[in-house]
Amino acid sequence: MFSDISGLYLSMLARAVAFALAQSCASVIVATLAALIIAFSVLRAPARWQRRYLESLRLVGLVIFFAPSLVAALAYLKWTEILTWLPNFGWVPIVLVHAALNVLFLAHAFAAVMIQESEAGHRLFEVAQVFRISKWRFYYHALAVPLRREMLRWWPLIFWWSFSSFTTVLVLGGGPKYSTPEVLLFYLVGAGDRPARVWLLSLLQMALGLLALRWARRHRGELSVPGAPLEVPPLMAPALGTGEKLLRTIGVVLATLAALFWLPALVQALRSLGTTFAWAQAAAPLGISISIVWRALVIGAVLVALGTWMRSKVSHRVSDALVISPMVWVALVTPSEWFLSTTLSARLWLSAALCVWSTLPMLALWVYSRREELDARARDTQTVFRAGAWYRWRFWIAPFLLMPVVSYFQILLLAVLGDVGIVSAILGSTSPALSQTVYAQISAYRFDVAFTLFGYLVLLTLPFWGVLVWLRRRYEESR
Amino acid sequence: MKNLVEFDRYSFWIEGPRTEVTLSGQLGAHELLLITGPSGIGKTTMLRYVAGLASDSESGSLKILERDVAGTRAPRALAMAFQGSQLFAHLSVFENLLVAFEGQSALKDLSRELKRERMLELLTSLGLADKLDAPAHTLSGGEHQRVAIGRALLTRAPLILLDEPFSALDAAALDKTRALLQNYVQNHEAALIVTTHRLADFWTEGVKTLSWKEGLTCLEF
Repeated sequence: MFSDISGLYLSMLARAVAFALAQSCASVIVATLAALIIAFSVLRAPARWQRRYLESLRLVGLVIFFAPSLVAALAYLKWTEILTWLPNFGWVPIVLVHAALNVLFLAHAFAAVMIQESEAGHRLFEVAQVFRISKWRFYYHALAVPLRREMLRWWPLIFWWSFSSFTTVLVLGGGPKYSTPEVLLFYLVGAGDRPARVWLLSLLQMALGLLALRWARRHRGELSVPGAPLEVPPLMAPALGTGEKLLRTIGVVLATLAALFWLPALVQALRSLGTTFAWAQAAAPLGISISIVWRALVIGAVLVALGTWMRSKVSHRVSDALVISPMVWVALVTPSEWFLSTTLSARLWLSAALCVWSTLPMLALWVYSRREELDARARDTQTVFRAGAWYRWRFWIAPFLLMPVVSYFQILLLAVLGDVGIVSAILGSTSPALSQTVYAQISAYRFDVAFTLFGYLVLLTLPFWGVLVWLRRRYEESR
Repeated sequence: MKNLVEFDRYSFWIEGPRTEVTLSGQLGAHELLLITGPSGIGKTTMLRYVAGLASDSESGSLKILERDVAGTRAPRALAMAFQGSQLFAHLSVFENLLVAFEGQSALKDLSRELKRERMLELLTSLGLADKLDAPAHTLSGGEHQRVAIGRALLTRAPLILLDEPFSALDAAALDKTRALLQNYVQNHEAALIVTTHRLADFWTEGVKTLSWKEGLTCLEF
């Protein structure tokens, strides 16, 4: 089947994989280092500011974490207008934009752990003082283990999102010069390339996806968006030394930069609403995007339900393979003769499968960990009180699933609205989704129109943020 | 007096000290069995076995209402208040208590109003009348514990297991809860099995005591 794979193609593929690996690892490292410094600045912030600082990190970090990569790309493009020398740095901006997407969210997770541990660590601080152990050694001993656990929990997710990122790489000038497998696939499918190449690429993606999923499963703990801000204990630590003061200042600067990164683009987008691009022009592409979202929800729900069943009845490995498989189905179909005669509806299903591909592992992990948590809590109550099926669904299962499902809907919506992906190659130019329309404007250097559409994207997602905040208050913060 | 519960060389495995423990004795209606012993000896594990939460290493005979349930997964005519309360924090007190009506066919079909009425009556006796619609996560530790006890009593099961039921209660709450439990045992064809460190917290009439000392593997009451 793969007899027409040439050495040239294999070397292209190897380069793409190597670049994707390198930029993903670099993104994870940069985001982690910056997040650690920011988290430290929260830990040693004055007591009266600490709680507000932590809450701000959570809110801003969460919104940015879910931001579509097209939005990230637009934010970067806005900066290139202000700082014209930025594009000279090759692929470095790709890493920085990926890191900017994750850093505040990660910093909140780290800071929450640091503050939680610092209460227990307070006595260690005293011991450190009595025995004249340096504060840095204290930080290492008191915080290294819980932070390592937190890192192992979030790294696979951040790695995977950077690895499978398409739009940022494309818009920031990475593709085709610095191709990731996703970008390569975009060009192969768009060019109607030989099926074997597309299949090989998708199988490789699936294998890497499986590895990331297995890693995440091993280290995930309770995988959910970090919850309620902690009751911050007053940290009666010794006065700040010069080194600590410097690190704290750097942390505050980094947090401010990461938050301000989005501001110029956001301001321009909101100011240009209704001036350069009529809402009516966005309606048709938006309709296409919504059609993809509901199809993706159906595919995601079926796959996770099947995956959950397979975990208990067949094996974890088969279940993981199923969850990560949509890319292979699309790769099997798109280069075929049949694909040329498909209807728009069939293409929308394929596009939906692609959107599911990059987001489903997160939902699956979330649902699985929720189920385990629920099992542990509910098993005893169920045995003793013998609750019926309706009660279990209404009061235990539905509330536990609500948050992952609504969050997934939000992620999908943002992914479909804001990511170009190879959805473009599947849908073609006759029925573009909203993201393609924005991308087309960027390609034509009509940035003003792109920013207007970006403004629409922001407005569209506002109601969903409201729902998520309500759900978090109702169900998450009480867990 | 008719026996509600009979342990006849009922054996189960305790993981911590890696010992098999054998229990014998009977408990009739209106009786209370108090189990005392040092922490970690296996009191909670024993209750979990009796409740059917760990039936894998049971042997001998455990009859509840003359039905031998040892080693089976058959539903047992009992209810339990767990040590950690096991309420669901994302639900209200009302929603948490609803589960008490689920396993009893006679209670399950009661109207919502009647269920609410019974809950309110019970919570009033526990001094928690205003907490019926409160989210469980807003309750204090002692309130949690009282709601968990109330949940077990609402089932009107003939055997109620309580794992250190007064450990988080202040003096006033303890008085109310003790009165409610005593009232339940006296007015129903029911018995209680309770683990505790403080025998003085309970009444003395109709009480059997099982003192479980370190190294003891054959227990009788």
